[in-house]
Amino acid sequence: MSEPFALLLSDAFACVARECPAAYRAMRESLGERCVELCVGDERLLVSLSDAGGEVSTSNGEAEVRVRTSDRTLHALLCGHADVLECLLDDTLFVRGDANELLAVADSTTFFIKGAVRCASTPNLLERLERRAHYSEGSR
Amino acid sequence: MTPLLRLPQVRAIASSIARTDYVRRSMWGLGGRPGHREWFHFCISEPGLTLLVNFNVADDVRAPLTPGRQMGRVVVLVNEGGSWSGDVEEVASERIRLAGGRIFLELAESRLEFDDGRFRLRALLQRTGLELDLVLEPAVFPSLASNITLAASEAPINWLVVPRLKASGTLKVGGRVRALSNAWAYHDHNWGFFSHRDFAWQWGHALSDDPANPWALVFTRLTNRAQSDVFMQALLLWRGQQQYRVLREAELTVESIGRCAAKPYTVPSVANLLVSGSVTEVPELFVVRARGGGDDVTARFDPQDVARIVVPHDHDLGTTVINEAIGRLTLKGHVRGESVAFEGRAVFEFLGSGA
Repeated sequence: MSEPFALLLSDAFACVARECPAAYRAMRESLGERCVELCVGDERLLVSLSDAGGEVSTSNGEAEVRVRTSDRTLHALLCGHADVLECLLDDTLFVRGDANELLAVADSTTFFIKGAVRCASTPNLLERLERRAHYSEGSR
Repeated sequence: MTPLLRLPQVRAIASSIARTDYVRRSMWGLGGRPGHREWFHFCISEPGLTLLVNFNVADDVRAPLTPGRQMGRVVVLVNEGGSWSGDVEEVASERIRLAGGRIFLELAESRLEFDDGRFRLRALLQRTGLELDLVLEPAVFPSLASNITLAASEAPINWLVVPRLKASGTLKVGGRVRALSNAWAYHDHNWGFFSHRDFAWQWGHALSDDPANPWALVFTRLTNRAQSDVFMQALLLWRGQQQYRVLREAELTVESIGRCAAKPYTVPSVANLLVSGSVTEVPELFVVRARGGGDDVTARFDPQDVARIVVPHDHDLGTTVINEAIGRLTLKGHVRGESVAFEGRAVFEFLGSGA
């Protein structure tokens, strides 16, 4: 049984907030009060950011932007084995929202990556994502 | 074959390297200023294989500031027949051991030391299992450049280059062990308080495919970040064991033609999302012509494969991209009335910016 994606994502936000606070502040400012619905595999999460840290919940609610993908695609994107545009075109990455909302989420995501490349804990988080990707592959 | 070095020459080269290539170290932990950085870089090449190894140690100026805290990075990139592997791994301060005044660095399980006139280089990437264990014998005298002035906002840079060594040992990659025997190698060492705020470079080195050819080439060009101002540029030529000719500044013209079409390999992998899919900084052809004092040489570098190292800035959330381009170089011309010509494998670095 793999760990919940919600736990992994919460740890990733906490990692950036702790190890690269400047990147977390920029993520927070870019996203503002927006909420993102993130579906990874069978998990549906609502994601927002506050000064206290990333908030990841499984509650029902409205989101400005919806993202749907798989552990495998996410891992491939983060490891450079896949390209964002190609994933959007082949529907392994699905994104929906108004243009301005999408731009804000894209900016916030870029700052998350800028933080991640500065965090010593990122390789461990990637390994956890890789284990989830392997598990979801094996259970298909 | 190039003439075998006699024992006095071997000793003289070893002594010269020991006296100049030693670890400088940061003085931050002893009341000095923060921001020191230093790296030891090696490139090893034989037919079908190019290996890039970089041991990097810098003051860790991330908050909260802790004087004396350092951050290490071990970069190993392997190109086998055009296919890349390798990674960059960060090493925490408590796992770094340096010997100031000697050539000794230990970054976690990776280690570099200079002993008995030879470099012993061992690197281990924990996540990929990539491992190398090499002995490198310097075959030429080093060249040292101190306090090279950069932009007004940048502190000077210092470097040392040894453009010809022989490397033997083993490389373990993808579970396979590959033996290297007398592979040609290159080494440089850079240190100082410079940053990537307003500093970039183009840097390359080449040796002939023919082991009997005595020439070795190093090209350096230090610029501002926009690459619109050149702080210094030089083409250095070794003949045999000695640095033989340096052509510099206005004696050089540099031309980048076209754009390299190679699909780059990026480390760390997560930085792929911060850089574009192509390498706009690497030209299709890079030409350096140097003329002065009756000498005239032209080097033409044809990049074929590119790996890029994405380096996060200390001073902001930006990144600098170091493109490591492997390719072929032809050198033609004459120096001091003597014909100079070779064709061989070369590695050039071209800097760019990520998001």
